[in-house]
Amino acid sequence: MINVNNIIKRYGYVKALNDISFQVERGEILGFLGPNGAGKSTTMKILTGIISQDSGTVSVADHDISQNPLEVQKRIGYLPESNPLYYDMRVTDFLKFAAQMRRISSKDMTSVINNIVDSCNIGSVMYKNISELSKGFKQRVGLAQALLGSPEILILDEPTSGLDPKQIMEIRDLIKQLGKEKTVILSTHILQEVEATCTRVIIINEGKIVTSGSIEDLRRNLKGGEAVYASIRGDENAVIARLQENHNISAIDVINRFNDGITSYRITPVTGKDIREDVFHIIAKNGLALTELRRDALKLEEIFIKLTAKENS
Amino acid sequence: MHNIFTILKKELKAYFYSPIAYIFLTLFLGLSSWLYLNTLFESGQTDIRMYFFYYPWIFLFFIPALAMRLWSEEKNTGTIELLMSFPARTYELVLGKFFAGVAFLVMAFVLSLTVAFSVSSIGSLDWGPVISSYVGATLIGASFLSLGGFMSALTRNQIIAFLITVVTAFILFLAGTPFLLKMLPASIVPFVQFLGLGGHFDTISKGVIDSRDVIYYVSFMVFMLYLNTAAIENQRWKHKLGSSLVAVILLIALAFINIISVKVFIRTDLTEDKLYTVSDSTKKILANLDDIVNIKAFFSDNFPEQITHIRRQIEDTLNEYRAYSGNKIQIEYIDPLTDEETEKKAMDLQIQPQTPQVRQKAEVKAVKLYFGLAVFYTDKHEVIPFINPSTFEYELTSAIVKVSAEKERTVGFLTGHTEPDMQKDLGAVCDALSRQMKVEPVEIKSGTPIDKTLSALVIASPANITDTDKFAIDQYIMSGGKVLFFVNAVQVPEDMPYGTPRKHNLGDLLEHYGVKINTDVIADYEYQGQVQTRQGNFVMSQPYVYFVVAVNKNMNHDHPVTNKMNEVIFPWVSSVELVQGKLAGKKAVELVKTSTNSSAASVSNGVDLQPKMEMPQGSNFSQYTIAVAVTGEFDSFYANKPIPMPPPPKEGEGPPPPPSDPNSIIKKSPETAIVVVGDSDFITDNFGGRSKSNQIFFQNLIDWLTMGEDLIKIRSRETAARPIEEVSDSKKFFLKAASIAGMPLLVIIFGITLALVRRAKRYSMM
Repeated sequence: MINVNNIIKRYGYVKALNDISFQVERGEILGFLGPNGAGKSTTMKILTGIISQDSGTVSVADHDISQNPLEVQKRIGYLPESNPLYYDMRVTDFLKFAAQMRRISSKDMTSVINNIVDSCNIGSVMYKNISELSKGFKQRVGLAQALLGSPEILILDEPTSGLDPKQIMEIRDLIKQLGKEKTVILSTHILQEVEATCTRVIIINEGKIVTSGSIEDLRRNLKGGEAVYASIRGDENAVIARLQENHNISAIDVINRFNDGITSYRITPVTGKDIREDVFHIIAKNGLALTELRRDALKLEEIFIKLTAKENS
Repeated sequence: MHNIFTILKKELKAYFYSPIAYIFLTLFLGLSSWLYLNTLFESGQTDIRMYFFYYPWIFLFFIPALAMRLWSEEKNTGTIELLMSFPARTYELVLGKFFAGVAFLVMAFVLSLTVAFSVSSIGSLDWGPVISSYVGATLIGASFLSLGGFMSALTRNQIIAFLITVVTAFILFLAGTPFLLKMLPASIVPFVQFLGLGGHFDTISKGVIDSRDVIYYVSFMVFMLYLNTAAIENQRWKHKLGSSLVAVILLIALAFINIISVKVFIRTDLTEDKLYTVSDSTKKILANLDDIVNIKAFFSDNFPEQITHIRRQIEDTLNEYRAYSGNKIQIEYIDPLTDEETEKKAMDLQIQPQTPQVRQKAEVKAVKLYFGLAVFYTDKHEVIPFINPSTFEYELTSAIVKVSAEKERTVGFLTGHTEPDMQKDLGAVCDALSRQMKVEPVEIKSGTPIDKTLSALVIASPANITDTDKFAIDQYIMSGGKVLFFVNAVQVPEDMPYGTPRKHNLGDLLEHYGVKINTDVIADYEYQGQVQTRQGNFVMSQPYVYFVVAVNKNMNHDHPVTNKMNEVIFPWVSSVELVQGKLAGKKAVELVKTSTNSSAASVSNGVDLQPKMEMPQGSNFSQYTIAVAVTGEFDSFYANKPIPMPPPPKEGEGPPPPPSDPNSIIKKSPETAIVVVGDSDFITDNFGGRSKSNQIFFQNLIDWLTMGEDLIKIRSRETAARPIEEVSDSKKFFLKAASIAGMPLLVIIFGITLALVRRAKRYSMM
């Protein structure tokens, strides 16, 4: 569906994208992961024909974007970063305008807009100025705009940023729903988001693809991906000493000290081992109190730290 | 197209859904009409040009304000990414936004029509300049818009876009105005004038839509829209080098188109009286100038407001002359009141000031006005002491013809046969003629031919033409001479209205040339002049059927002499006929006819010419020809005749001149022309000679015979003053209020209503 080959993009002397290649198959929901400034938005702008790459090729549904940008743009619904909208317009006028730009004929207009208004649940704000809407509604209006004309491909640049948890849940559900019929690329810097919605992930940093694959692949490939978070009441040194006796555990870090004598640790295992039971037994055997034990998902930052460290070594 | 239209609608709505539109419309409508209507009643003329005079100045600030948001806002809010993600070409976005601005302007213009309607309600308004001014305003407004759009595409800051546009527009606008041009060296003035946005608006707003101005504005817009597109494209695609190259090529191409358009252009004069259209004849004369003609216009700068439009109109005409001469004509404006030396220069050229009484702010005083000009060509010059706008073109073209003619024309008036005297009887027409040519008496001396170099010979009301005279006239024609025969077949004594035949003795000669003069007198019961009769102590005017007035519908419309003539008076005129048998190979046209309600009375036995009060019963009414022209190659009347011998010399005079050599007779003429009119009183001072139209008719005849058709087609035209009616103060107030406050108020009410409707709808949905 989407073929990106060796694209390079410079802003002045800075290489925003440095030789990026990837493919997206029909029906995939691809998560584009990376910190701010990694090149996510630049990649998306190139895919949507807003800017052009300096070199390399991009083709969407067998249309080369440099040769035939309109054919590509017809197939893509796009939610730009930070969701810019015409704040002076009413929702209804805005959607009509976007529908006309997407060449929806005037006889289909009403039904198309009504469908999208229903699926995005924005019927109650149709006659409000966009400037008056809450952030969640604005985001849904932005999504609705991207969905007009039922494009085969959706490109969503940080669709959940700035939303409250409930709104995030709603948008994620909506994306999952859409992913059943469409190819979706979304960018984010939140790993949970990728976990919750995506079938595949590409991690990008400093204009390069660091890694890509399914979520599980990714985790598995990371050294010490299966860390455990534990809160334990008792003497810190004793706890660390007992835990270090287990040969499946490779590292123990103190994360927090609470004033009621509880300390929380991250316990990193040797690759590929699940050490939750081991930790439980060690604590129980030594008469310490375990107040919390869970698998500790790595923060994106930590994955990056690891990945960049891996690259450097 | 679809995308352009979609963007257009969106942008237009954006204007109206935000306060911009209402602020703009209110200020624009209020300010423009206030500036104009304040001075309207003082000027006393329905000249709407002063209204549009303010437009570009208002545009300088308002249009940058309209244009500044076009791209800057999109860039600042990031919506430009949304816009660019739609399947549309960049130029479609640019055009959509541009045309939205233009559409908004046009709406503003429609609302501003109240001013034109107000003016037309209190006087006769010439709508031509109104229409062309709106066209011009749209062009200059759209040009400013395209400039503003480009500037807006360069920055995300609207204020910066606004300021750069104002400054650039100001410079481009000033370049075409006299204010700046005065400070530049003369050699680059025309170039800078052409580049400036302002000068082109001036010419359009006066009522002339000229392809040069339109092409200039369109070129400007095309270039700016290209730059706008390139600016946006470059931010997307980075083809800086390529687009700069295209810009340079485009600029060269547009310059080329404009250079051609200056040479090949069309213009439409929308003014009712075609005020700014120099006639084809003048154009032809100007195009044939082979050297520089300098015009020094001595116009004083102290023209009262009421008549500045006349001065401007004359200056416009002078500019047309310069344009059509291909800059062979150079014009210098001099204010003779600058210092005494300059004034003396004007006086030396016989340029005379006039001192009209002028009302200025409730005070009447005399103003010394100079409004004359001098035309210089090599060592010759001609002067128009004080310009009369209605005959200006004719006078100026005549002056140019006169100074630039290689050989001055000479018209001879035949004397010695009791013809009217050139000073005493033909003073008016001779005066008029002498402005353009030499006028001299011609006496036929026995046996000597008439000077062939005469441009034309006028034979007015001769009596007892002798055979030798006729031979001389015939041979003059045979050598290519042109003759105007104004033959009185009727003799009317000064003190008694009674007609008897006049023995002109030209009948056989003219008949040989194809024209027969009837010995009759025409009475026209439809169009006639007046005579004054004395009854006791009273002088009464009454219609007089024997003074035939020829009106335009009875003139030959296909002939340059007569096609625009009207109301030429012919006292005691006889009918003339074309003799078809004699006209083989020649072209004969009937120039002037009487009305169809005319009758002809034979004067062979004398006829009573008392004024008649009623139409006679039982007469046969018909239409009679009274003037004809014959052109072609003429056969000599004496081709197969003996040469008439001159009469024997009287006692005491010299020996008889030797008889002419029969072989020296010219038997056939080259291509030439004669004119025959059954009357001569139409050019004498006592009858028709003082009438302007009679003079023009006579001049037309002479010009047609001597100069081809060039000068004749320049008609004298009336430049109608268009005064404002007397209006009561309350109506003045109403008209001012309606335009200055009424329209802006309507706009505001509309805006508030729209906002309220939208508000109501929004809450009804919740």
